Parts: sequence; C-alpha cells; structure tokens
Amino acid sequence: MAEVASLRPPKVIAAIDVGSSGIRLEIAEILPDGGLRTLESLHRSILLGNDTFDTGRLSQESIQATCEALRHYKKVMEELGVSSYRAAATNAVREAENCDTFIDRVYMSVGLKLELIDGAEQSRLTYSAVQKSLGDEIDFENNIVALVEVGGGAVDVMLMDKGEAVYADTFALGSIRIRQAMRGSKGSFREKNSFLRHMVHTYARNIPWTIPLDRAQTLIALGGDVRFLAGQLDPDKAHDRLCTLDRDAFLQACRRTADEDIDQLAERFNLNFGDAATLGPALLIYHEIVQSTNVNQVHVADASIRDGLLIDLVNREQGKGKEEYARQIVASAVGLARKYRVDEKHAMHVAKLATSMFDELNDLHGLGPWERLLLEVASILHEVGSYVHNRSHHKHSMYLISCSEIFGLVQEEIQIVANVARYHRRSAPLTTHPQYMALERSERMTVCKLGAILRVVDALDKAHMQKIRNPKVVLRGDELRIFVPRTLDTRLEQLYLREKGDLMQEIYGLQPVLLPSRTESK
Amino acid sequence: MNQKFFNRELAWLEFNWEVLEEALDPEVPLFDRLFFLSVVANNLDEFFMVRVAGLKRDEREGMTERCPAGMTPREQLKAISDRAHEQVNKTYLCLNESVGPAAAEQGLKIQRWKNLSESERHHLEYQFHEDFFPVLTPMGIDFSHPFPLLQNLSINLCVLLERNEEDEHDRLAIVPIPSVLPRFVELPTEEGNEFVPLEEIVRQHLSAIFPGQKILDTVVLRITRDSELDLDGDAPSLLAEVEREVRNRRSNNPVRLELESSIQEGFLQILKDLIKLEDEDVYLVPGFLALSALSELAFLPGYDDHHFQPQPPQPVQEFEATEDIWEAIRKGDILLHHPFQSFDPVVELLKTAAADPDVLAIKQTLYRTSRNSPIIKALTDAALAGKQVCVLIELMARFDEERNIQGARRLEEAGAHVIWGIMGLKTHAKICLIVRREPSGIRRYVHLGTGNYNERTAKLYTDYGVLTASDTFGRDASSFFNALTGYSDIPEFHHVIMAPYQLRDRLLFLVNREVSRAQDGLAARITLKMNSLADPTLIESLYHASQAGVKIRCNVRGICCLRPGVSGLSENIRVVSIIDRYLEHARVYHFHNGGNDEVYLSSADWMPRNLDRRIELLFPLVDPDVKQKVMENLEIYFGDNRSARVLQKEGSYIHMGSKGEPELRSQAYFYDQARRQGKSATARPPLQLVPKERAKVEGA
Repeated sequence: MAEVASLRPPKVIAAIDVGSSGIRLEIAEILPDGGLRTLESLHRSILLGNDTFDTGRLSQESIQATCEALRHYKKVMEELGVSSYRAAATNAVREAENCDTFIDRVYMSVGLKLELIDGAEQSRLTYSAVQKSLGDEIDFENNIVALVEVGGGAVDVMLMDKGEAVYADTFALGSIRIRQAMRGSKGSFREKNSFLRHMVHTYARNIPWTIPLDRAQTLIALGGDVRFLAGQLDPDKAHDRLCTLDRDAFLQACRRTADEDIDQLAERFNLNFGDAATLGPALLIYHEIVQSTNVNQVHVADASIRDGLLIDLVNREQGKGKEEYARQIVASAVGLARKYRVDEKHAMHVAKLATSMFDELNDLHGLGPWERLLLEVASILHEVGSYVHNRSHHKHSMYLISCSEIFGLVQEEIQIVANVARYHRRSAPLTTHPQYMALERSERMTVCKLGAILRVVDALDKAHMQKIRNPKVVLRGDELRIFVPRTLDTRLEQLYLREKGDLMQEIYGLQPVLLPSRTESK
Repeated sequence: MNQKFFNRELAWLEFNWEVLEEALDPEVPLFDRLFFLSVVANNLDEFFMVRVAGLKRDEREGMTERCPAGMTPREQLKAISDRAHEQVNKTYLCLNESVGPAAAEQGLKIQRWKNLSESERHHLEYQFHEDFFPVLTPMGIDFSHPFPLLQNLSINLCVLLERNEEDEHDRLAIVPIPSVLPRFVELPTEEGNEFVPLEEIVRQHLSAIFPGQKILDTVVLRITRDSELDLDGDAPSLLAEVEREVRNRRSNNPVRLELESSIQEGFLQILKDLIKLEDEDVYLVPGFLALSALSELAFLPGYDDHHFQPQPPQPVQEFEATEDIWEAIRKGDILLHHPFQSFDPVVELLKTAAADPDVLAIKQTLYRTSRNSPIIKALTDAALAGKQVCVLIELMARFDEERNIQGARRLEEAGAHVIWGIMGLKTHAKICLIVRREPSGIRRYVHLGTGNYNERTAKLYTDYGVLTASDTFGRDASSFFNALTGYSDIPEFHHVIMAPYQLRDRLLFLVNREVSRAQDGLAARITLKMNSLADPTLIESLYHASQAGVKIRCNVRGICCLRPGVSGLSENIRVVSIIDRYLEHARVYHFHNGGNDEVYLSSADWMPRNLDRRIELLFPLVDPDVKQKVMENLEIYFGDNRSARVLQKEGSYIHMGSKGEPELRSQAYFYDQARRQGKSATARPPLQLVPKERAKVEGA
C-alpha cells in the first residue's frame, strides 16, 4: 500500500492574494518531505487600494477586472489540477464598504472563495513563510528580529524575541494610501516630493513609538517594492530568497529612487505605472523604519503571505493546525498584557489553572486544542482593562482586546477572546450584550464554556498570591470538587467561588466546591 | 551618404545579388540554379510589395527623414531602381544565355510560338478553344478613366486595337491571364519536357477574342502593388471593416510595372501615362515575366542528376535510443540542428503529447504553418482529447495570413484556446510548452527554437531547436504564456529574455560587458549569427566594441547595415554571409565573457522591427554539451571557404576562396555531422523473437 501511495503524483495547491496593489497567484506542489515546489507565479497589477483608500469603496471596474483576473487564475489552477487552495483578501478589500458584496460577487461569478485576512493573520502567515524559508540563514531563536512589510494599504511590523512574536502591529500607512493622500497636492515635482517626504516622516513616526524597533538586531524587509530595490542593487541575487544589503547603501538607494519621477522610473525599469507610483512612497517608509533601528544590514527576503497560505495548506494536509504557532500566539498575548501592566504572575497562573481545568473537563465541553489556546490567551489578558480603571475593568478588557492585534489570531478569534475575558467577572453572558450577540451561535457557546472556566479559576487566585497550585479536580455527581492543601486558608476563594461559579453551574451543570485534599482521594 | 551604415534596402539587394550568384555558379547543379533564379525573382517581388511600397508611401506623404545611412526616401528609391534594374538584367542574362540553353540541352524547353511545329500549333489551338478561351475575361480600356485594377502580380496581355471610325484614339484592351490555369502549358513530346507560356498561346488567338478588329500591338505586363498588411490589432468588427477599406485603398498603389522589352516606344508611353509610374519603376525584361514561376519547372521529375544530392534529414540519436520520448528529454537538453537533423522529433513530441493521458496542457506559438500542418493536427487532437491547449497564432505573418486563419479556426472548433495575435505586436517567438503530470510531480517539457513550427520549411532552412525538461525553463515558458494570454503581467524570467521589453537592453549589456573586458586588457570576443543586422543602436554598440578592441565576427545571411573593416570605426569586425542550398536562418549569439562563454539562441534578428514591434525570445544554452556543440558549429561558418562571402567595406561581397586549403562547405559539413550521429543512433539491438509460453497465454 505504501508503495502505491508514493506513486501517486504530489498534491498541487494554490494560494491567491488579493492585495491593494495587485492580485497574485502561486501554485505549488507538496513534496514528499512536506516542502513546496513552486510551479507558477502569476501577477496582475490591479490597484484596488486606489479605490478603497480614496472613496472607501471598490469601483465596478476594479471588481470586474479582479473577477476577470481570478477567472484566469482559476483556469490555470484547473489546468494544473489544484486540489485545494486558499484565497486571501487583505486590507484594500477588508476596508471597503462593499467588501461583502465583492466577496459574494467573486464567489458567484468566479467560484473562488475569498477569505478576509486582517493584519495579525497576515503577520502570522508572513512569519511562517519567513521562518520556513529563512530558518537556515537567520537565527530566530537567539536573536531579536524585526519583520517589516510595506504594502499598498498598510505597514506590518513584527518584533520577534527568541522566535516569539513580542510585538506585532499593522499601521494604516501604505504606499498607495500615501499616493492617494498626495493627490491634488499642487506644485512642482520637487515640491510634491518634499511634501511626500514630510508626510511619510510624520506618519511613520508612530511605528517606533509603538514597537521598540531600536531593540532589533536583525531586520528583514519584505514586499515587492523592496525586492525590486534589492534586484537593482544586487542583480545577481534577484532570484534568491534572501538578499542582504548594507544599511547605508540601502538608505541611499531608497532616497535616490524616491527622488525619481514616476515616468522616469517606469521608463527606466520597464515598470507599469501602478508599480512605479508606489515605489517611491514604499521606499521612503522603509527608509524611516530602517533609520529607527540600529541594524547594520537589511535582509530582503522573498517570502509572502502566499507562501504562508501554502504552508497552512500543507499543514492541513498533514493534519496540523494553527496550534503550531501556540508559542508565538501566547508570546504575543504576554506582550500585550505587559503593555497594559497586568499582574503577570496572576495572569500566567490563571492561564495555567484554566488550561488544566479545561483538560479536566474535556469530556464535557467537547472543545479542541484551538479553543484551549483561546482560553489561555483570554486568561493572560483578562485583566488588561484595569489599565484604564479598576471599575468595570472587565468591560475595558473586552474593549482593549477587541481592538488589539494578537499574532496568529484572526478578528473572529480575537472577539471570542475579548468576550471570554469580559465574562471573567460580574454579569454572565446576556442576550442584551451587543458584543456577545455579534458572535455566531457556536462562538457564543464557546465563549460561555471558556468563560465558565475562567471565572472559576480566577476566583481561585482572587488574592493574586498563587496560593492554589496544581489543585486536584474531581467530578463527583453534580459537583466540581477542587481539592487544595488542608493548610491553606481559602476563605476568600470560597467566597468568590460561590459568586463566580454561576456560569459553571449553568453551562456544565456543575457546582464548583473547594475541599481540603485528603490523601485517600488519590 | 553616411559612412557608418549601409542602407537597409541596398544591403538587401546585395544579399539577393548573392542568391543570384548561386544561379550563376556553374558548380551548382543546373536545376538548382533554375530554382535559385526563381528565388531571386520571388524575393524581388516581395521586396517591391513591401519595402519599395513603404518608401513610396513615405515619399508620397512628404517624408524627407533620412535613414541611418543618411538617405531620403527619394534617394533610396532612385538607388534601389538602379541596382534592381541591374539585377533584373543579370537575371535574364543568366536565364537566356546560360541556364536556359543548358536546361534545353537536358530536355527542358520553354518554347516560343514561332519555334513550334505545325502539329504543335494545332494541338495548342485546340486546347485554347477547349480549355482557355471560356475562362478569359477581356477588359476594354477607356482613356478617360483610370487604368483598371489589375490584380497584384498577375500576368496580363495588353492589346492595342486600331480605332473605329467614331473613336478619337486607338483602343486598348487587357486580357488577364487567369492564375487558375497553368502558367506553362506542356506540349506532348516523346522525350524531355517542352512548355509554352500561357500568355504566348493567348497572344496567338487574340482574333478569337477581338473578332473583326485589327490588332496593332500586344505586350505582356505585370503590375506590382503595395500589399502591406501590417495593420495590427483585433479591432471590433466595424472598426476592422473600416480599417480594411483604408488598407485596400492604400495598398492598391502600383509600385512596379514589368513589360516585355519588345514593346514599341509609342505603346510604352501610352501605358506609362495610364498607369502613372515613372521610368525608374518600369522594368523591361527580355523574356517572359515572373520568373518566380520557374520553381514549378525546377522540380520536374526526371532531372535528379541535375540537383543537389538528396540529403534526407537524419534521425536524432537521443530519440532513437529509447521508446520513451519524455525520458529522452529528461536525460538532458537535446539540440536539434535542422534541416540536417530531422524535425520529426518535434512533430512526434506533439503527437505523443496529444495522445498521452498524463499530459495536462500544451501551449505554443505559431507564426508560419504549412498547409495541412501535422502540428496543427496534433494540437487539434490534444484539444479534442480534453487537454488544455493554448495556441497563439500570428495572423499577420506576411503572406501566410490565409493559411494561419484556417488552421486557427480548426483549433478553436476543437476547443483550444486560440489567441489571434497580440495587440500592436507580432508574435515571432518560437516556443512550445507541454505540461505533464508524472509520479514525481508536474513536469514541463519545453521546445525553444530559431525556426517556425513548419515541418516543410524545416527541410529547407537551417535552424536550431532545443528540447529541455529543465524546471526553470519550464517556469519561464509558463510565465511567458501567462503573459501572452493576458493572465499575468510580464514577469521576471529565470533564463529567457523577451522582446520588446528587455531584448535590446540585454544585448547591449552583453556587448558592453565584452567592451569592459577589452578595456581592462582582457580577451573579448563576440560571435554572431543572424539573418539581418540592421538595428542602429546595436550596430553602434558593435562599433564601440570594435574600437575598444573586442574581436567581432558576424555571420549575417541577409541585410547587413554594419560597415565592417573600416579603420577607426569597425576594423575588428568581420562579416561573412553563407548562401547555399539551404536558407541560413538560425540566430546564435556567442559572448566570450572572459572564458565563461555565454551562447544564446533567438527568434530575433538585430533589426528594429524584431526588437521593438515583435514578441521575440532570446534564451541561453545552459546545457554545457549543447553549448559546446553550438560554439563548435559557429566556428565552422567562419572556416567555410566554399559558400561564404565576405562583406567588404564598400558593401559588396567577395567569395572566400580556398587559398589552397582543403574545401570546407559548412552545410555539407553539418550534414555529414548529422549523418555520423544518426548512424550511431540507428545501430539498434538485434531483434529478438519471444515465443509465448502456454501457461501465460492460458493464464491471461
């Protein structure tokens, strides 16, 4: 049987990326070792960003052009026998008012299902691509690495310490956005160019304020514009997955290119006008970012969201899920918690208690490792709201989490985490809570199941002293018996458990009780 | 006149002169000389229809811009006329005094009426009334109206009739000789072949066409018209109609008038006035018109002794050794050298692909195809078998439009994705991609070449083709087709370089790289082989390279605007042209690159039209064996002392001459080479008979 299986041709998979400056398709084959062999790369430059960042809507012409391009892509995919694919739309689509109708139109007229990808998910995809492609060249484990990608609509920045994403954020500062903002500005080319520099400088300042880029020891730059620049500076390595440039040469080339007229650029490098128009602003943004670091070199990598999508598809083929990234996701949550100065010992302790409680209740909740991870993240973050004010801090937590980015979590997942964190105290979920009701039914059930656990374990560390460690949990009848050492004074926890056990009772039909442990209970 | 460049048109005429030299060469077999005469004439016909017509258009539109050689359209037309007249005279001299009489000695005679016997005349008279007369459509000409629209290149008998009493002038009539009838009517003979030109027979029977009228004079004439069809694009139908109208109006302009030289002066004047052509456009020929028709006679059966020895294309070793065509290509890149080696492997590959269940897609460009092309047949079969077939067919391939449209229709009906050309650009690249699903994954097989996918011309033109299963070439080929189909923007390629986007720049880069080496005192060499060298920018770069000390050798078959061997300008450049039984057609560019030689093949000549207005490909030879072989073959061209001519600094060609060295004739050498390789290929393992065993038969 094994022999028969090995004779079967490798699976062919595809990733599509509907971005703000173009639509790209990558088709690859899964090799026996799980690696990928690229078969085709297609690119159509359609500036969706021009629509969204200007009028807030995708124009009919752009929608039509996109459908046409995707129809062609589908043909190429069929030709090569693609068995599964992921098609991601990023911020130019996500921010458009007519985003939903656009996705529906693509589905109805082309037959491709587009997923909306937000900044954090994009970061995760890019990170997984970078790690897979550069794992040998760059030491992620002993290094602080900044990953920067300037797109048409956004700048994604990630800071990784020892392979963990400690900061990840998306800034609404893309090359097309800047071009659009520049429209209508008057004056000579020189004047416009100096205005452009000024604008980029003003906006890009936010980036080092949010993410301590000065800590970075290695800088990896991604994206078409910077790869183009690398190709110009080092033509022999134009096709390599990594091209290392000297800091000063890089900065100088960025400035020089940004000083060129679009017509000149288009003419000189055989670029289409769309690509030529975004080159200057994109390189100026890189310039700002690199200047705020202390690195001596800039690594320009050939890794993209499409590679990340393909890796996800390979993992799916091999039965692996996003749990692969648990370490990065937790690290990102811890980073966020630190930003809001939570009691980290308490947060981590609650997370530990919550996950072990989750495991004890496995048969009752029927949830999987992914939900366990969401619970862990919610536990780490449940008290971030105290940063705003202690009163109603659970509501502040919900708000802060729901507008944060957590590496590896998509918007829907962040909303779940935010709700779980909210219900760590006070009211249980009610149909009058809008953010709760905004979730889908199954997601609401997840929130209740995870929230019930978080409430109980939070009560167990009410004193923030991590008194109760490794409690033994036993299900007996309708009781959730939590055994703690006899010697512990648990009056405070008893009190809170009575209050916060309500959801546990309602969802699992279990009354949590604290009992002094007895040796015979083993 | 500018000292730096040769004029393109005059350079072309020099090339045609060299073809004429082959017809004049007594060492060339007689009937091949006859064929070369038809080639010279046919070449001139196309030259007038396209190039001269273009210059006349420029002149009419008042263009006075000078060509790179510094000539205005008027100056060029004048110079062309002078040189073309010389050429025509020499062509007829060759036919009338040398090739014609010699062919007659061997039994092939083209007879005039006056030399026919009584019985032969009777025979033709009968045939005229039975077969020819019913399809003749004479036209009367009224002096007050424009001359009738005689079909381009048609043969016409012009008749001067005596005026009736009521007429002011003598009258003119035209009897077009229908092209549906044979141009040469064969006489029944015991041995040999005797023919009478059809117009000669008609001339003798004019009284049947114009009964009761007095015929004063007759002359055979032929008009050449502007037939440029170079309007690109696939406009919506209405626009296309309008364009066609415009095109017809424009292209109707006569550019050349050919007449029998026996015409009377007065009659000639009447015709010149009517047709509105200048003296320089009038060609009086001593003999029958349209020598291109000689090609019909050159290949009559029975004259094998008077032809080049047949050279059946040789099998290709790599494919003889195995039944599995895919495996053969996977083993390593395969070089095909046509017509010495057979083109069959390419046709076979497509046929195999069409029938192979594992083949997913076939994509290919078609520029000139043959009638009943087996390639189109294979592609059609593949489409019918449900494979993705994508064919880019160039409708604007000059003089082949009709044939290409028919082929493309058939393909489309079979379900192939046919692209009817690219807006504004002619697709001249020659590439074929086959995508196949194999146990190890998707594999792509690519054929890239310098010649068309036309198995007929592959027997007459020298070309290279490369078959490869290289992954990067496969990706390049896919990307190229994705760009052609409009599925993707033009990508960055791994190997191939595409015109009109990057080709000239890359060539300039390659030339300049040799220049920098030469400037550093290192050895620098460029060896080029192409059909035409006319791009001013690239020629300038070669001059620059020559001045820097780069040794440059060019094997340019046709037009060469580069002026070689001029001290201070091009003293390091040598240009030779090979004209022999096969038309030299391969484009090979070799750059020494400090010993790390780079050799490229291409579909493109170094001409502005190839580099700016066509989709062309240039690709490197990456397989070391293939590269080595092509480099060695290039050397042979420059060692040729039989069919090579050296271009002189004033523009003429001089035969190499052997100077006592053993004769080296490149095309003969390559055929021997192919035969040696083919021989070793055909040594197959002995046939073995395997008796069926009873048990196995029953078991099945």
